[in-house]
Amino acid sequence: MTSTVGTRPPGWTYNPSSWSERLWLIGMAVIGFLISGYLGLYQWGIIDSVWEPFFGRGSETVLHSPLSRVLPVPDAVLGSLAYAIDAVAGAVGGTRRWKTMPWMVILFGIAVGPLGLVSVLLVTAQPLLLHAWCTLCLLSAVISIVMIGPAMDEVLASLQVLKRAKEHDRPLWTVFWKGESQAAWSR
Amino acid sequence: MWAPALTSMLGVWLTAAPDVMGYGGHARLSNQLVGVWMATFGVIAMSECLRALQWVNLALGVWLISAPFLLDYSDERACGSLVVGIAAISLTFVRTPVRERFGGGWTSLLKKAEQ
Repeated sequence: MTSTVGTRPPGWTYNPSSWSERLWLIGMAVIGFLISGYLGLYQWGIIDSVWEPFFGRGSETVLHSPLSRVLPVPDAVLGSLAYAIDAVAGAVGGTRRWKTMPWMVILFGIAVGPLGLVSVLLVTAQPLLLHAWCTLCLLSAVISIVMIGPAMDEVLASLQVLKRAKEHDRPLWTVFWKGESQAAWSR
Repeated sequence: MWAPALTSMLGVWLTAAPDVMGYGGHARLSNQLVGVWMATFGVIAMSECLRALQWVNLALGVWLISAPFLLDYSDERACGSLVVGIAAISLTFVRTPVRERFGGGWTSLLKKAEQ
């Protein structure tokens, strides 16, 4: 293993792309994928009943609500797709990916951020519009929200790379896709 | 980290309170709407690089203090709203030491290049 010093972004005390920062996020995304995948299978009618330990028929009410069918595909299916993108975009690239693959880091951030936001909106809808709660939906929302903060530090590091590229009149588009070469840092 | 974590607990309580205590109306609407977002921003602000988002909860706390007067409800619901609001506001002023540095943080993206 190489020293972590060289992989840290300038002015940072740690490396946001290190595996210790990313592995548990990938794990959370996989758990989220399994939970919302299960809920999606129920919404599609492939599974007959859904696990609900606390709120009686709450999960059925929430998962069969008109709101969950606004789009052609049930919302939990879309959720599991988003978690799958989280997991893959979180896993691709090495521990220097904040500067070698800004596009992947930013895709990861876009997948995690809005997914979390949509989860919060759906949670708000449960009591206010439907007067019902759904345990696994809440658990999935908690997972999405917990992922936001720890994912965004890496996005910040990549945005700082793009900012520096712009300041030094380097081609922003190339840096976005191909990253900043190691040599470019020594001035 | 404990202060935003505690704030998110307040948010969870606020969300659950109308169903636990059995009340409805404007108090329910206000508490559940504010509660979900307070819990969310509490959790997000636990990350040091997004600690600044705890100020959203300051705004939500101010709303909780004003809500009983603006939405015209009283008794123990108003009392709960005031208590949680004051607690949430106080918690945003708790200074927890920040251990990590982030290359100038999010504001560095807006600043001009330093020579």
